Amino acid sequence: MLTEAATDQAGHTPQRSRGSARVTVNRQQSRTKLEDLFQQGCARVRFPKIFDEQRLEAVMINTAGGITGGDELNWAFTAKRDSSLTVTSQACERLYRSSGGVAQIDVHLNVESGAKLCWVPQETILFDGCSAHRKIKVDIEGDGRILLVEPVVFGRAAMGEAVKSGSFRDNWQIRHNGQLVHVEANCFEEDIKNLLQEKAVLDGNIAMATVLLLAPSSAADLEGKISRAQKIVGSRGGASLWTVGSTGKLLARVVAGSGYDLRKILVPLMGLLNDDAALPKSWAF
Amino acid sequence: MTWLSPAFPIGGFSYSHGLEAAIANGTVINRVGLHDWIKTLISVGSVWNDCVLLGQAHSAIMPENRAYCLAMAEALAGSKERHLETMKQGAAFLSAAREWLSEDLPQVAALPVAVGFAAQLNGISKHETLVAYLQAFATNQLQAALRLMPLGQTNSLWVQKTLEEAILNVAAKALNSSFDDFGSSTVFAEIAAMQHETLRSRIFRS
Repeated sequence: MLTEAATDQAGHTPQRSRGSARVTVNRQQSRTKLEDLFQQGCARVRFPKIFDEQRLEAVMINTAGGITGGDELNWAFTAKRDSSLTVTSQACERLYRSSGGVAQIDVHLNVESGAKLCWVPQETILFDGCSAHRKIKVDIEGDGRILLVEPVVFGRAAMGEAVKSGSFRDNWQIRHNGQLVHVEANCFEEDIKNLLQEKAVLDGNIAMATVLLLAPSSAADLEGKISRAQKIVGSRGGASLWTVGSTGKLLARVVAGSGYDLRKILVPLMGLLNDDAALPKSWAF
Repeated sequence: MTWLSPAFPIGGFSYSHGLEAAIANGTVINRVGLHDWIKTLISVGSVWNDCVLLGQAHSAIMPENRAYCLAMAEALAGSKERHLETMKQGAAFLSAAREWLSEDLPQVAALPVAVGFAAQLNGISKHETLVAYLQAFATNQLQAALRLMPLGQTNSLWVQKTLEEAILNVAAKALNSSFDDFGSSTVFAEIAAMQHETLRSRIFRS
């Protein structure tokens, strides 16, 4: 849906897209069922048929075809008690050059006790001059569990495109039983081209991913997963497991020279952390 | 600032903040590389976030604001050893600084938050504390580098001097920062801190 934004200096009123979608799933006998669906503007959600009836798969679609400065997108997903929800995206989200304003992408994920949420959107692709701020808020209750995977690619290298400057801020705040247990604050701003060259940043690479699995610290499988995760991420990645309060956190970061190389690492890593449950078709390799 | 001198017993000498892994895997090989590594960390990395936390802790007087600083700092630590590094040093700092403190502070806090609280209680300005914190971080990295690579005193002093401008710029920027200014670009430094856990031979705890 297009709405009117503030008039710019030349008297033009640029069109901005807005979208909002909310999905709630619950468990009925051994199946996860859709309880509530709300969609507005350019945000749409589809539920492809999958063989595993224990979980539901939701596919986010931004019908605006990309995001530019001033756009607003809201996504909210709730997995009620003992349900299982996997969320992915139909296409890579493109953050286009901004002609003014900052795009706001807000994500809210709720995981009730016994529930499992798997947040695995496809790559976010940054274009030169983009300006976007993504905020992901997660609330977990009891022994709920969540896997978050966010791959980011700076420019479509195959198209000869590179990101010279822009602004991309990605903030995550995760609460477990109301307590703040994890914060991510990734920020790439101003002279991104030179920033990415720094050895402490990406050392000239253009693809990266943040992968986070949260479960109660008492979960028996975390210890067994960490050494396997460390092997999968290889020399250009890292993985660590530690505890804050009663929350177990398995965090991995991966860097690669291209989106394709990044996927080659992410697919087995996601398989491991998702207990070898089938990944969405968008992640088929 | 006795608190942030290497002689203050918080155990800073035993942490490399991932530098040991970065040197071991050949990412940091000379004085220029070392300077760039430290400068990036303090300008757009984990130490920039520390500065934001220190500034917020310095301004936090109400119990709920202090609680938020404590939770935020612990939640931001990016790996098992980074978490250990900031929480152990913070607790040791609070214990050692007790002589200077008129008010009871929590016994557990991440290092920048502990320093921010203590400085505020003793009337030490935020700017002065930020500069001292950054200086202490840089000195600690240089001490680690001297043990880990063939650097030498002359090159170490060159790095120290060359970092001065960045330290003052970062401190000035952090003075007016808020929680909205958190942000790190240093993905490979975060990865180095993680890779340290599986390094074959290690002399540092992070």
